[in-house]
Amino acid sequence: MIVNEHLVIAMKKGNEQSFSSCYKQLSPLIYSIVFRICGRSAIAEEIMQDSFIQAFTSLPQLKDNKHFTPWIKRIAFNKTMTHLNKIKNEVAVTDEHLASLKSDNLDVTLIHQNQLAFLMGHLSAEAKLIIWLFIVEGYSHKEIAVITNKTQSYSKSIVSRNLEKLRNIEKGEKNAL
Amino acid sequence: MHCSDEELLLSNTEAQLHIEACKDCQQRLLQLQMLKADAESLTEYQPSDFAWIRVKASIPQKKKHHAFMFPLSIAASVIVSVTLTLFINNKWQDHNIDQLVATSNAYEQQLVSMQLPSALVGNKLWEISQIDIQLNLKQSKRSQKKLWQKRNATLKQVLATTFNNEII
Repeated sequence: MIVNEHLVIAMKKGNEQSFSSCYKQLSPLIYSIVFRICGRSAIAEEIMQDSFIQAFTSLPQLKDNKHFTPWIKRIAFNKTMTHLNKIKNEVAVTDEHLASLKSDNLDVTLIHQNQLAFLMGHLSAEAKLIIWLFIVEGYSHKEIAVITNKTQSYSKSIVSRNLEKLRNIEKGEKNAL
Repeated sequence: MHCSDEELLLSNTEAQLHIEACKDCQQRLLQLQMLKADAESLTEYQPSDFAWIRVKASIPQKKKHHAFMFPLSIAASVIVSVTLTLFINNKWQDHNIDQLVATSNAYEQQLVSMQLPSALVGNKLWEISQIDIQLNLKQSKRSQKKLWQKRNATLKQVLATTFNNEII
């Protein structure tokens, strides 16, 4: 989902309808990503709102109108990381949407349905963010280090370790995670 | 030496050569590609309808430069015109009153130089004294002007009466 360049131009001109249209297009995407990472709908909604508010109010700072979507995503990732730093401890997966993935006894059949969902369902919030940024968003470890305020080696080890675990589970080693 | 996860995703020429020859790296690359593809099939959740309300409240308001600048310039012109008119009018009134006062003084000097038969001009002199009392009170320029005109007219009448009596 990428917001049309003309829509961004309209927003810069102050067209109220275009803000609403942009929100309708992107809010489910931003909300879903943040929700998958932090695992709580109320927090995800607040981070999503804050991201839109920051994006809309600092719109004149956006140089390339084509890059609105990755720009607001980056704002959301930074806000998610800020939230994770605040709570420090691991975020438990308790919300109803991810209930199916919460299990001490791994249901390996899920791995065949969606490996990413399976992986995201068994990681800490910070690891989820790193995995999502690296695999889905295509961020480099250097960029991830900036967002997480950790070393590149840290995110490299998170990614490689969890991918290896996933491979091991696929091979039948259920206790790897 | 196997490719790192980052090298697998970037797949530059050197990495591609290695991947072609390495079964292990091929499997790892396939895993990364499958995971990325899985993201597309994840359920998309909807935020609550209330979430928009807070965002909407923060939307920057459109600046309506022309809409308020035009009436503002009109208002400024009106204020300047009114102030200027009042100032000029005030100066003009002052000038008129000064002239009336000078005329009045001239009549009075003329009157002093004559012998006044009190029986004939007594009432008129009383009228002038009443005008003087009113002039000592705080009056508008317009009223002052009228009073001075009335005073001068009365003085003129007194002078005329006195002049006729002297001839007789």
